[in-house]
Amino acid sequence: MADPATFADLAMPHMSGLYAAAMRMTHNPADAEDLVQETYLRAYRGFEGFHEGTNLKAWLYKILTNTFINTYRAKKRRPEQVDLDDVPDFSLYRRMGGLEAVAAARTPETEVLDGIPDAEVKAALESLPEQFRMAVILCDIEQFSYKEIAAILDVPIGTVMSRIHRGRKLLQSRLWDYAVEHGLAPAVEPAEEEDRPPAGVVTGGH
Amino acid sequence: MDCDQLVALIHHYLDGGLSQWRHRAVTKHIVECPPCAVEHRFHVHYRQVVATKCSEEVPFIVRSRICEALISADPAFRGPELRGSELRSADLRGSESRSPELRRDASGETDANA
Repeated sequence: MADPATFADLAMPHMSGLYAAAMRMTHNPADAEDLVQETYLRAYRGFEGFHEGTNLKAWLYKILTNTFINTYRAKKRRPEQVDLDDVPDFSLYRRMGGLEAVAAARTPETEVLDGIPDAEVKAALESLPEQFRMAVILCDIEQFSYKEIAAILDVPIGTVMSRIHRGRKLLQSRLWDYAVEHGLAPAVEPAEEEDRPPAGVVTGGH
Repeated sequence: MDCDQLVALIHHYLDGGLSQWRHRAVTKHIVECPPCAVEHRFHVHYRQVVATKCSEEVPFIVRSRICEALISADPAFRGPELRGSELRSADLRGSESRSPELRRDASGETDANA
């Protein structure tokens, strides 16, 4: 068995992050608890095979992901089928007006983001197709590298980058929809979606 | 490095996915170009907001149950001074040997004594 003190030292501080990821994956506290508990039990049993110096956090998330896929998701009849190419191009920054909005001192984008309630951001993240959701959690929230995420999800790095990219766009478009619906952002389409004024035009150069 | 390249690379930059020299080129551009600095700040803030708003406090009871499950799996997991309300990660190694990191971690959890 693993050395209890070392395991407690190294693994237990990651519980909050693992629990948050589990909540986003399972959508409910009871399943999230089961998933995290199972993750810790498996990690503890496998701890002897874990070599110090390797990335314990990534290893824990890999166990979490595998446990989710093999046990929790296996029970669900809904095989999440998404058209992975069907993600429209979207940039929250551009949609908010980008630099022009900042320069014109309209609602700063940061205020729009801050104004979206926690529960809505969580719901938006949970609404993403599973593959995208996990990639976004691991990258934007847990700050794993592409390489680490590739190892955790057991997919090539190119796939990781594509999932993160698309997941991010989807999440941003859903956050934007919420902001518009709730009056946090104006419901106007920007004239040029993916362009911004050339550097210097708004600020008067630098 | 121009602004279009910056826009194309900013996410890879923030993801830590660029080669060292490209990373440096992006940093240099951000420092020298106020509009791109604004965009960079936005993306940094966006990630912080999403991470903060999606964080979860592990309820004390959940933390306890997970520790109990580990103890059930291996009685050796029990720390020498383990008592009901002290059942949390820092206690698992016994009070004398607690590391400052764990102490900080435990005290950072506002629900630890709830």
